[in-house]
Amino acid sequence: MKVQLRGFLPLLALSLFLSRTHAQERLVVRAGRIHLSGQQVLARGSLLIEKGRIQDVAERSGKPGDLPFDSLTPNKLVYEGAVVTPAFIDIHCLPPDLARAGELRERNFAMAPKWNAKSAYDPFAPRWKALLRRGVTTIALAPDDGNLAGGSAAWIQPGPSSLTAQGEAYLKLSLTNAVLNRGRPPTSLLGAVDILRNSFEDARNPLEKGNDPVLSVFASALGGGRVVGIACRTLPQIQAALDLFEEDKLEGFLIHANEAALSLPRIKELEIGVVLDPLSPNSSKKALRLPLKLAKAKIPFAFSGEGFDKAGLPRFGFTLWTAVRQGLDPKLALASLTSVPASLLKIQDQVGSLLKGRRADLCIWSGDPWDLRSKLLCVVRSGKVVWKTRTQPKKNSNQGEK
Amino acid sequence: MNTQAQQWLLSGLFATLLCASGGAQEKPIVIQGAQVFTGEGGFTKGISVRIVDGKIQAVGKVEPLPSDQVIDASGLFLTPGLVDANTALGLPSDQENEQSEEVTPAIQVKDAIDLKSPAFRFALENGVTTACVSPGGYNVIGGLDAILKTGGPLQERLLKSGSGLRVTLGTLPGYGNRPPRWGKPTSLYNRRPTTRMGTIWEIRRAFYKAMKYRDTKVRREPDRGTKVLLGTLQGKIRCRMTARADQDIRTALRLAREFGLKIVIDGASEAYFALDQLEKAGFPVLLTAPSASLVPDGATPHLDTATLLAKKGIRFAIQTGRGITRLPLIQEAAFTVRGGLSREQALAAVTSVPADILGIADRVGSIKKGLDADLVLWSGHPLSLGSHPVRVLISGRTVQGEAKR
Repeated sequence: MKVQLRGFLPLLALSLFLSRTHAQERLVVRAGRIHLSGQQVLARGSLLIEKGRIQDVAERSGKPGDLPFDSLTPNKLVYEGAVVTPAFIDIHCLPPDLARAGELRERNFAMAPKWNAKSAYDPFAPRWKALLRRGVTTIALAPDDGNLAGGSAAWIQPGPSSLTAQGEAYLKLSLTNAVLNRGRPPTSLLGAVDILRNSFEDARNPLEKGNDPVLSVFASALGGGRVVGIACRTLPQIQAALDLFEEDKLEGFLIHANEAALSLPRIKELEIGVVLDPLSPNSSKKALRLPLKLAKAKIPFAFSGEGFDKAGLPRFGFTLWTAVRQGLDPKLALASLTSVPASLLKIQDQVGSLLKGRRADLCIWSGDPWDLRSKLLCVVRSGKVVWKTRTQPKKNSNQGEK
Repeated sequence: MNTQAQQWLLSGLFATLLCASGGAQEKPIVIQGAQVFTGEGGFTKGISVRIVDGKIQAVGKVEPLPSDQVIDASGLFLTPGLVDANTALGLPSDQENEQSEEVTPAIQVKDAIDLKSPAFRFALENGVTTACVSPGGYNVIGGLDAILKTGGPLQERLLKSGSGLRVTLGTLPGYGNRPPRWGKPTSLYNRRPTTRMGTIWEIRRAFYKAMKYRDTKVRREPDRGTKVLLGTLQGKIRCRMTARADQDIRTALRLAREFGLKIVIDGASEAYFALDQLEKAGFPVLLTAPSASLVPDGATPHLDTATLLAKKGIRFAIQTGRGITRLPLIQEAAFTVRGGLSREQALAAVTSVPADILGIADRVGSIKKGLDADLVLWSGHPLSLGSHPVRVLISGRTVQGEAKR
């Protein structure tokens, strides 16, 4: 008998250890309203997170004792009455310190399609922590507008952690005035468009293309093989960008596009998205009305967080508030920072919503995220709490559950 | 009445007005009572024009139907919308050319035109409804032009793109280019050419290269520039050669003979020196700004150039060009009348003739059945200084004038 026990005890200890680690990998988030995706909302719900991903979602009746998943793990985040949203995605991230140092631009020549913004990424920079505090867990670090073909933007979950995911996001092209230079081609928008047309034409021609690494980048984008983001501001720039989308059957989105309101039917026809500059009450009337027009035309749009506050980091809450104040549907406004950028980057099966199987990247708010009085209480990235407020929300603060 | 009720009433009234004006656009329009210039000949009385779906449906004695919208234009003058064959409308002045190279045949000017530019409104206010925008003259071969309507919905503005290639002779393409011996070695402006001779050699070189490609048996797909030059050599693309001074006009004719090109002489300020050669060659002439006193290339414009061209039977149109001192197109035409040209010829030189030279006579330039209803109603004879456009229509829509206000 003793001998038998001697063999059984280590097994028992091992199984206990394993079950405990399994429980540790789990996390239950119990809160009030949960915005699962753009249109799906639970009035009161719980989320089960396992191995960094959303394992299950349940709606609660609110009766005492109706606590699904609570028995599965001791790890719980309980914010009764708080609002849970997917964490934000910054689809066109240009940290100003990096941009100022010229890390995101090749100054000697306009065409740098093989460049990758990931090379400029420093996981230990303090700005990423600050970004997490604003609810942003996924960024597309982009080359700036100074190069005609700036290279690849990189999608990154920033921060010094083993949990970060990385990949190539989109090919960044630019037709803005920042590209023009008296010291090197192109000197005009005419020339800029011509150089891009030539590149796409050569990429289509196998004899020209050969093993040319630069042309292979353009070839990969032809026919929607790769997402392309074209920065353009004025009407001629937008028209030229749309011509390129049409001629080469590209897939992707316009960036900035301040005057997109004049080309809505064509944008809709080409099935491309628009990435807008962040909003504030100081934005021009045109910029403030543009999201409404895009929503009416059913064109997918997202906001970039490009250089917004003093630290140059996005305050998406402010953009949300401004957009909703202009009359945009709050769910649509929230989608423009979560699910829409994810689908524009084609990573919607990973992030951007809280549906089953997605990465557990979420924000917990004291109230509606589009309400300036609401506070961000907690940020979870890949199932781990990466930032949490020290103070508990006051009882009288506006609650999501009304 | 309380304020809310007043507001309701006002908004209702406003909505009715909107519906009424919206509906009016769809109705057939009959313009009657005006003196009409159809594109050739003089002004004729007793002609009415009926417009259906933005096109001219009938010209002559038209009895309006009860459902038609009738515009009573008694005492007014009706002409086709003016056609300006060379402008820089909507192009930023520093971006008319891609200056990093001197030969850029594949560049399409439509890529850089700002359709919201106030320059289009200015053109409309002066009765210009169609404009050809071409690349600037700082490149030897500047690129492909675009022909646009100056008003109406943005999506419907572009008539044609890439139908004409701009080639510039003279000193302008070499202007500001530093010869490498004295310029900074790294500057972009150490480009060729630096002289008139160099400019012509660049044109020759470009066409020789295209011809060499054409005559090679084993070949690859041509690049976009070569495709354009081949199209020009085959006569599919109109070649607009800017030549202002006498020697440049002669050079243009020589180049046309050498390469078998069908050219249009653009500028032609000193055409009075080369009348016989122009007559013999049979190429049309686009005369830039007859009112101008100062022209590049050291050319001396004369007021009677248009008259001399007309006497020789050379087909010519009048255009504004892009000098800062240029006048509205109709006033440029009036200047040629001052130089002895007949009023009918002057009007044809800004309507039907440029439309024909630009290859758009099947759309605009005349008042004929089936053409776009681009019309201008003038308060008096268009060529008298006191007249102004009362109403401008593009594709049957009023885009400028009293009815718009």
